[in-house]
Amino acid sequence: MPIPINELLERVSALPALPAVVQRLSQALARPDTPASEIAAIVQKDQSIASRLLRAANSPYYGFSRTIASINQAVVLLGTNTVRNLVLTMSVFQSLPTQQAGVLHKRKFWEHSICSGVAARRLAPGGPSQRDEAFIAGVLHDIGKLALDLWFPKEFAQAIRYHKSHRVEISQAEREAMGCDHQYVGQKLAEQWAFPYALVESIAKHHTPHRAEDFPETVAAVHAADIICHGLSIGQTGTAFLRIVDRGAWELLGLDSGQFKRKVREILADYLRAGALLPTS
Amino acid sequence: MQRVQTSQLERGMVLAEGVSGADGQLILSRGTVLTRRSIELLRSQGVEWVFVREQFGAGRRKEGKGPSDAEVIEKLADRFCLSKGDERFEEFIRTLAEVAGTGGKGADTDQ
Repeated sequence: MPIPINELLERVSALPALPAVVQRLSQALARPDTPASEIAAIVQKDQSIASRLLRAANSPYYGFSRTIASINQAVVLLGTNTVRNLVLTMSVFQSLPTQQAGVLHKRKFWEHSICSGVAARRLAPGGPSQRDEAFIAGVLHDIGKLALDLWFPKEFAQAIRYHKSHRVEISQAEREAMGCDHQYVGQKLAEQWAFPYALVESIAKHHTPHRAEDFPETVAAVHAADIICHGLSIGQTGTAFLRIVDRGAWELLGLDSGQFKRKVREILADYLRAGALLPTS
Repeated sequence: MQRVQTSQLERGMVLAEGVSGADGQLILSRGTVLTRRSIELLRSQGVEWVFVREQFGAGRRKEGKGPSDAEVIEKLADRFCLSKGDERFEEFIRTLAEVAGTGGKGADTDQ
């Protein structure tokens, strides 16, 4: 049963804006030479985000030997871009449900998301800021599924049943059962929340990396990360059958068999340290 | 295979997966029977979770044994069935199985 696209788009545009802290951070970071103390002051104003950020900063994933006790310290040690991306991630966690509803198991959904984030970070070529971007794109790549599960649970459940019984790709099953797929819905959410374009493109094209135009490396990293996490059986997002990594993405990421094995090992090790990044624990 | 928080580990549990440090170096290999010392080592290395073999439950074939490599490969081959025929298929599956196996943990098939 196709879902009414008008209703879907109305739901998207009715979503509340992300917390003010996200916008203030982006504005502050757009100016060169914004001091760490100013970034910290912005984060402090949102106590809920601030406490989550501290918890994440102290996660073994980041591997600091001493306890990070203040937001100021967190900004200095993690860097402003990492902080901005973590705050954005946590704001989305707050805005989308983490409680059980629909057919997706929320906890397992977020496990898959966090694993995809650490995986995309390991796979992305380029410097720290590109790796940071890949991390958040990996974490948020499937938010379209979450919205579909929340708003159209019956239709989404039907799409998953179709996927499993016909053994076709999940996006194809969604399009056949609902008339649109989670890439499209995710893209609309990402645009509504004015995410950076590398994120929008990764969310919109993680199953079709050959279509990426502006940020092919980030899209390729997210594409491969998603598949590897499914291959490791980490988390669940309704996907039971899938393809191996796209050949073009594989080449773009500079993978060969030795490199691939090493990356998968690193990803598993990273994930086992990243529990504190989950929205609830 | 089940995921267990390091704080919940007990002596005698068997690692279903090798555990690597942040630098990718192997700390403990797959099949290690945990002792007080190895549990302390995991905690001191900041490892929060590990995969241990299923000790109770239906998936168990023999006392303390997880699924065989062949079972893991079969499960992965089914999950990635949409790429059957791709020349990279077998190596891809084998690498995933080798690094982390997926047995017992149940893929996304519990709809």
